[in-house]
Amino acid sequence: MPCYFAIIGAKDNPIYEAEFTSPQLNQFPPELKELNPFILHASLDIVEDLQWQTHPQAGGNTSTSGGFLRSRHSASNSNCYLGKIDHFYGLAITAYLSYGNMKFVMIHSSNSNNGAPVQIEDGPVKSFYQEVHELYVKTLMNPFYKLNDPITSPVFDNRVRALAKRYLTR
Amino acid sequence: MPQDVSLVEPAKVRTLLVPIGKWTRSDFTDKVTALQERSEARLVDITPLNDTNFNPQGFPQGRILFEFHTRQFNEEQTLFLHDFELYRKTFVVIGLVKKEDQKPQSVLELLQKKYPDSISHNLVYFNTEISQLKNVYCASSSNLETIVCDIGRNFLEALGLYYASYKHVTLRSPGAIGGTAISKTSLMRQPQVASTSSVSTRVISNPLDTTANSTVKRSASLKSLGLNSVSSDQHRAKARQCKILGNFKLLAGRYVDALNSFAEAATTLHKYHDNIWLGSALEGLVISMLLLSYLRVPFQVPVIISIICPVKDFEQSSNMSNVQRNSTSSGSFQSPRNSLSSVSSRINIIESQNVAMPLLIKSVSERVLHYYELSLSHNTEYAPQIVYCEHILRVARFMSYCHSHSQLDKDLLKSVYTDENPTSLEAPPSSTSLSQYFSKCEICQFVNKLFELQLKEMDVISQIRVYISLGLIYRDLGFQRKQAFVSRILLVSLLPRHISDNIFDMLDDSHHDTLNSLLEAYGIYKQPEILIEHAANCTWVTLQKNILMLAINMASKNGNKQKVCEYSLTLLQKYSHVLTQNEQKILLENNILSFTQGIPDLVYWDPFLLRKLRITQLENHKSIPQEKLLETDEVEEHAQRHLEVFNPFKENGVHGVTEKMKTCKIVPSFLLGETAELVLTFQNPFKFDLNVTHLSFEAADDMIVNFLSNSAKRELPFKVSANSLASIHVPVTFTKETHGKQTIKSLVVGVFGLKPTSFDIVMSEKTKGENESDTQRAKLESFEFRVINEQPHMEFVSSSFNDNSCMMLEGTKETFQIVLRNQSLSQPANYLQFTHKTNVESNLNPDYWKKLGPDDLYDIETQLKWMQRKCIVIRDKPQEIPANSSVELTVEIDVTQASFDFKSFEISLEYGHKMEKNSTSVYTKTLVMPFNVTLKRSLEAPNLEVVPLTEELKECENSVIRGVDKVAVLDPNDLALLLLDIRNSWDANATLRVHFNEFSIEPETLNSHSTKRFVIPIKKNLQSSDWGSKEIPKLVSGRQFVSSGMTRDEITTMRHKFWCREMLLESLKCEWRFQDSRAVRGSINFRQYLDMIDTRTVDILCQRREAPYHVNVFASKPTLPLGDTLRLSAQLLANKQHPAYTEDLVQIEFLLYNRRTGLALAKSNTRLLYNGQLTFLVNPKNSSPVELEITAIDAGEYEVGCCINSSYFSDTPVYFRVLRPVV
Repeated sequence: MPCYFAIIGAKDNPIYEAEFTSPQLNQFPPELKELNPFILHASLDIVEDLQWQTHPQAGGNTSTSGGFLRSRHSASNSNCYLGKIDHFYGLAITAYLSYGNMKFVMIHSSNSNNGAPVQIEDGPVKSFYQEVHELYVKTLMNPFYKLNDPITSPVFDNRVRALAKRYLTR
Repeated sequence: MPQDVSLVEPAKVRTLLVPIGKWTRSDFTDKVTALQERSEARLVDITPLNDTNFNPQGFPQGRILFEFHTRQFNEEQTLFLHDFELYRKTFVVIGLVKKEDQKPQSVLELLQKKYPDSISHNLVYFNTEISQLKNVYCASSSNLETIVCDIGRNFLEALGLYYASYKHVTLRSPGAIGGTAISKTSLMRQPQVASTSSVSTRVISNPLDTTANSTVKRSASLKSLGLNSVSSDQHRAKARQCKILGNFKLLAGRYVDALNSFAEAATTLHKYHDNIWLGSALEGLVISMLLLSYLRVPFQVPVIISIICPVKDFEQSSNMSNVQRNSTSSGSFQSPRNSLSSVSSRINIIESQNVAMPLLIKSVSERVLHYYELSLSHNTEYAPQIVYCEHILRVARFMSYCHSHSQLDKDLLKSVYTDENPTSLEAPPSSTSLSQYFSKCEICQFVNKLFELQLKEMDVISQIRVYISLGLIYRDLGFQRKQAFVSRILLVSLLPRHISDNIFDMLDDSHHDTLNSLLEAYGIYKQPEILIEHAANCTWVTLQKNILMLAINMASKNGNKQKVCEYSLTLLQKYSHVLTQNEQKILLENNILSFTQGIPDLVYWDPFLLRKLRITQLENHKSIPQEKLLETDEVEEHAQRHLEVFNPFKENGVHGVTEKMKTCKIVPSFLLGETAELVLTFQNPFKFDLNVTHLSFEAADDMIVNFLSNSAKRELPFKVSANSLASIHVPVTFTKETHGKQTIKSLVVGVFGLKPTSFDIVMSEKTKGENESDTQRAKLESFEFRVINEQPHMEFVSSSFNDNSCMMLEGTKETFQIVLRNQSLSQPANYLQFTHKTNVESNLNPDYWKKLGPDDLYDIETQLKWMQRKCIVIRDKPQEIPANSSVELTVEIDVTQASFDFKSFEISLEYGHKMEKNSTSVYTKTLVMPFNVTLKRSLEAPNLEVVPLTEELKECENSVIRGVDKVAVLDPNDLALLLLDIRNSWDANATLRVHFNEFSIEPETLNSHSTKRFVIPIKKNLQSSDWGSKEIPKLVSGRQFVSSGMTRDEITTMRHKFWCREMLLESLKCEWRFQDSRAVRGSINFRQYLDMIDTRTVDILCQRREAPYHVNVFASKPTLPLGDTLRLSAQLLANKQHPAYTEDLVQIEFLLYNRRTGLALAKSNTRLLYNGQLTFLVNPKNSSPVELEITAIDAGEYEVGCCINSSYFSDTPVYFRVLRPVV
């Protein structure tokens, strides 16, 4: 299924954007391609709301144990994954929040264009986010990279795409 | 605003306000707001009626809620809904009358004629007294509320009649009335036909759904299979009637009755699976309950509610006993086999106090949606999309209301809440607070149901309504991005449609606000060109570009050219980097340039257009005078020279760097009336070509500098091609003299024929972090210059030299004339400074002194000094050269001491016109006159030598000394001989005369190209005692100390040599004259020829050896025959003052050498015989000489030296010759 993934900085600025499609599967229709950033931008409101919840009542985060704020006491970064936070017509939106307030957001589209809602498999999506987070932290350690600047490194891009191939577009 | 929806909307009476007579818009809107503030009519205030259904006294707490509109829309399109959702009808029309001449009765009739659908028509007169009529009122400021109540009574009366007409009508569903015209709710997901499958999808998409729902649904669907009879239709019709009655009661404010009617209707409809009406009845039920709890009237929750949704969902959690009781009851009706009757009998009555109203409302509304969805499978009995959407919106709005309020208050009845929500900020949510029930996310989840619908398929007005309400909900939640997103969807969906003007009128007020808030929400109104912070932040340009494009399209569709232009400018200005060439061109040509006529104050949008401004002198033009300060700098120099401590950093240290920078900035000066070239550099960051169409100076600059006639016009329009910097060269002229500096900071430039504006000269962009306090966006530049009056202009006319070059003989002098002319017609040159410079000086390295020893340095610098002072002398310098006149100057060249390298020199004249005698500065120009010199060798002194004058020499028969009188007088021990070779290198014979102090040689003739040696007896034993301590003088002071690395002894030796040479140079003179026709005279500069003298010469000239002992050796005779005896004696002289002197015995040793070979003879040899030893011990106090007798046994020449203590040697050796006897 095609996905649109972006890392959003503290000032709603995209640091990294990518579209994951595989040639044999469906691509985003052109009108949706244009709309994707808007959908993603709109769902940031929900991310920011969830960010401060200790007991998130809504959202499809069935696997996470608690809110983002709880993660202080747990060693793993599993709580960063906010799960499915929003949907817009047939698209589902998942999010992941880094400790540095970088928002990793992704739009999942279904393979078929019949408008049926997308099923999110939390396991692989979460793994994808965690590994991208790791890549991001590595990028951050680069002394030439400034926080909140767009990531232009082709290595980063290649690795993220490889991860997407592994976890998402199957 | 009719676009907004609130939950209690179905309880509101739609009322249209119509202006009648002469109103101004503001007046009318004032009255409308006044009415809107009093939109509630309490039933207790209304005069009782006879009608049992709508008698206000039946429920005195109730209210009639008016909803005043000034517009009527969509009436036709929602006509099919009037039977189903009664409140959509405009029931009441109120004419607001002002200054109307017609009679009230006829006006009222007209109103009834115009709005026949409404059931109650009223007139309210303002500012006029009028006789009381039915439905006609006179308004004053105080009685507005009474009038509203009276209108309410009229409405209730009319409602009674209206309801009576409904009683016998068979109510049909909207789908049945409207047919295909009505848009059916179109869900993206599968509508819930087969309940089992739908349950599974819903569970996944919305995890909040409880599994309890599924059982209820299944039971409902099971029942629907069995029931299908004639009686069911009747029951159904009856129930529908009952539901409509509920709606009427709701409008009439009798909420308890409405609750009961709805409950009854719902129970029946539930039974007969009339899903759409059931949904509507449940909605009415919810609203009745909400209003009742708002009015604090206790009531019992109808049984039907606990049948259709689990009680535990909405029960007050604090009440423990209730929970238990209800959990059992809910457990009981979970069994699918339960019949309705058995369930109802077991269910306990729930009091309204025990219910969490928000949760109740939400769970019921979910059921409502469920029933609406169930209805979709039916052909006619389906829920129209608008009904479905508005229900969602109403409930979502109620949820957001709950989120922002702690309890039900007056806001609930308003359609738009005030912006500030008091509870979320102030009061912490208590247990009773409404805000605890729903989180923002939950509300969002609920609202998202809308996005399962195909909203695109609805009619435009409904879409607008839905989207705007959605936006409001998001705004209340503080979700700006969501709100912006919704606004964008709305605008995008409006874009392709042909919208009637009417709708745009409606949109117009809020439309541009929407656009503007949209732009703001996406951060488009940041100002990177002004604020440095904005420039440093990166934003989501994809979104911003898209939104701006949308705004442009919207505005152009609207025909608002100014807005189109404004948005296009913003897009072009701030997002040019993400626009393609084509897009930029289209924006420019279609959206901006074509509207220039409409917007006269439109100016070019890139504030950094002008990147550089210079005025340069045209190359072929005369040199420009430089300002020179007189006298002032001399004082400063003086002060600096007296600094006692040498500061090595003074010249080019850290401090010096900044000072140099300051002085380096030279302000260019231009002459009045001069033509110069203005160089302007423009930037064009865009992907289209830029046309500069206008150029002019600022008003202040325009007085001083101006474009040469038409030159600017000729160059314009100037094209700056895409994405480049380009320079334009325009000739300018200076029209006025400036006093002090004139600064150009900006230039007026017009681009594309737009109105010309002033542009600053921008040097470079500033980036964040350079200087925190500085908020300016760019480093600005300015161009400084001066304009000065006409100055004198000197020219070098001629000199008496051919080709300005001359050939000279060394040591001679020459005189020549130069002619200068002041070309200026008006300005005399009254400030004249002559200087000259030879090639020797200009070829000198600035650090030539660093590697030279002090003696060499003195030599060179003496010469330089002489070159500077004496070599070229200008006689009769004039004080002033008047305008347009010539002057002749005499110049003397003296090459008597000039360096051999002297090849050329230049005389430079710095001149200017001093306005006043004592003015401190003057503009000067420099005239340089170069001359070439060829130096030819004349008389040279290739060699100079000093030899001691020995007795022998003196006594020689033909000694030169002999002839000299004076010498004879002197003690020969005090004399030495100076041997001087002089060569004549010139082609003519010369007569020369050599002097040494007062001693002079008779004039001698020296033939051409020949050399002569002169022997001059000079005095030795000079006053040399202080030479060793006398420093070699330095001609230039203030230099850095450089250690020479010499030891003390070396320094002393050097000083001796130096002073000795100086003495010789001072004394030695030689004049000469050629014996040719010109009889050139001259003198020899010995300093150039005389090398550093050697130690021996020094020794000869001054017996100054710093030793405690001296020894002199004497031989009895210079020659002796073989076998004869020679007596050698050595006289010891002790220098008792010397520190090394002691009274100990000293050892004197004779040394014998073969004079021919220079080798020492062995102690025992076969040539000279002596007695015993050569070494003697002598008491220094004893003055008697030591004697040694030698017998020569071999012929030859011998030398005898003497040494004391093996370290001090005799000054002069003794020679003797042993002759073989002549046979």
